[in-house]
Amino acid sequence: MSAALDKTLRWRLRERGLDGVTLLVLPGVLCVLALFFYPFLYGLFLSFAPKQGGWMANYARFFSDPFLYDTIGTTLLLAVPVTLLNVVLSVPVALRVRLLHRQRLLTTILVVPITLGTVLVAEGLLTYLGPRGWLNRALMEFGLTTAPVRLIHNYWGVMLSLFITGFPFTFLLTLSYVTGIDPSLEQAGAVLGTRARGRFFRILLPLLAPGLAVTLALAFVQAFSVFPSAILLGAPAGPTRVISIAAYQAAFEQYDYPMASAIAMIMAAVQVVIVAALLGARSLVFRGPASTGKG
Amino acid sequence: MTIASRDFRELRLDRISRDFGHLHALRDVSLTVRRGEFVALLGPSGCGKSTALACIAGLMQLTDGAIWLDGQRVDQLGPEQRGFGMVFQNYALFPHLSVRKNVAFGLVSQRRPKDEIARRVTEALSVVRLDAQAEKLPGQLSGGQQQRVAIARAIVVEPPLVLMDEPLSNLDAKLRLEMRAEVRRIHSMLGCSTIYVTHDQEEALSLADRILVLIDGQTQQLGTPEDLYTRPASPAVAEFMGYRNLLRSLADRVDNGLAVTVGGAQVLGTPQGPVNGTVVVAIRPEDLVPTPGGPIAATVELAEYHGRDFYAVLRGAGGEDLFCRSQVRLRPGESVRLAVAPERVLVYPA
Repeated sequence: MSAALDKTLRWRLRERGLDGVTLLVLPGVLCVLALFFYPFLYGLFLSFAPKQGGWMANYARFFSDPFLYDTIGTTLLLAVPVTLLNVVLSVPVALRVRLLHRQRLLTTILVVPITLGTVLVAEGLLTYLGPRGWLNRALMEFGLTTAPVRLIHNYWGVMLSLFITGFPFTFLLTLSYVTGIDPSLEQAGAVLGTRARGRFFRILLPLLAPGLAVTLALAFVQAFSVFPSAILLGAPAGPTRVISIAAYQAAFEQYDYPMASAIAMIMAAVQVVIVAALLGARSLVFRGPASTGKG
Repeated sequence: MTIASRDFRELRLDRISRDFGHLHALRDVSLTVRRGEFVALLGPSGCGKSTALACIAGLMQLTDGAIWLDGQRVDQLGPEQRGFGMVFQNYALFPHLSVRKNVAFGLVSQRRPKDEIARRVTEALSVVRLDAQAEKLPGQLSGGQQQRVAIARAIVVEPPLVLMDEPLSNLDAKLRLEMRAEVRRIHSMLGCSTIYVTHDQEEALSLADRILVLIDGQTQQLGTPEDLYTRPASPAVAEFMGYRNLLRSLADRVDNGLAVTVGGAQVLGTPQGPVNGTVVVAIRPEDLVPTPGGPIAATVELAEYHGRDFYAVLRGAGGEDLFCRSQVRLRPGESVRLAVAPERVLVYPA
């Protein structure tokens, strides 16, 4: 009797795709819980337990001190343009690379900056773009400028570094979306008398849009959490005092962990709002597979 | 009905060739398609027929030769300047656009007035009988319906020429027959010239006014379906047109014609060119008729029931396999005598 019940329960679970193999997700779930949910919840609670004042005191302080709340704008001013630049530039490059035979070589070259990490790229740029670096020496040698162009320890240094480390990432994502579009769709457009421009705006772009929204979201999150290059290449006291610097200072210069947690939560909230908006916009466009036909 | 083929007299392929590296995908193919004509490019897969179609559409450059539309040379023009209609093998419908917008795509590119576009799209959809599906997305349609959308999208721009690349190959057998009739109906209704690529001889025979048989990128034969069916130019074409029995033999001149050996027996044949010594004999399965007292003795090896008739593999006295299609019931192991009419025994120089 109970064996029969047991069997039907197991049967019903299996019908829903749950069986012994399902248990294999447990280690993964534990890791996510231990490494993400626990720290996140810990930080969330900590942010509501300020060193002094009521439970909202940290947030109140953040939004009343321009030195703190301005970091949101500063970070957005860096992250939004560089994200747009990366994604907008990656589309034409990906469309061209799709037709190349040596695609592997090129993608390998482009992946290198990702593997090097932001610190090494920042160090490199520091010497390359510095007042006595190759770039400025070359510019002055050719008489294009009389005094060295300032490209480090300001907004542009961080911007360039974010571009260099972020572009390969957006490019590789975009390339995978572009290659997912059936080439015969563009051919069909061409035979129907549509020029390259029309084919791009009426066929490729609408089919790429959902993928580009995801790429934008991921690239934005990456750029928004900029830290090493903002310190190494930027002006961390002024124009590139990004939100992660504010959190770092709260935690390790003022030893105010609750305040640092509050800043981290605000940072997360800004990211969530923007990512949700981007992914929400995705529902406005076609999201099915980028090809039709059976077989 | 205002949808019609744009006025033109003929499309001429003048010795067109296309190489891929060292591979000659297409070599010196010439063809003239007159207005309203339905021409099929027929050949096994990899014979260059789809390459030929892509070259005509402008999706591929020619290595050599020229394409003329009346007096104008078009092979240097891009696909968007040629104004042909094309139906792709996978239909290539725009997945993000409704059926109506898919069909309107070419007219929008031509910057036609809105009311004209609406009128012509509605008309094209009624030609392919899809009026009720106009607002659906391609992904919501069945294979046969997607096929109709692809055809409507190609004909709505009133092209001088419609190119079809194995349009029925993705459909199941029943739908294929249905759509074949549909293609024929639309063709005769609109009178548009059509070049139709297929590997299915039955499809080519039933649809085309003329058939160009391509093998290894070269023209094997150009003729009416009847020409190809009854007088294939070579054993290769014969094989493709359903002559299952291709036998090597020695030919002898005898009093009343030419004698060849089939299944160990001497039968009379019809030479298809200057024959002497070794020849290839081509016979259709349905022309080998089980007849009491027939000259060819054979044993049934295998018999398949096909409903209306039987398809059998027989072993001749000479040891070779013979293929026979017959209304008479054949059983494995049975000995039968076969006869064949001399005009149905095609003898080619080896």
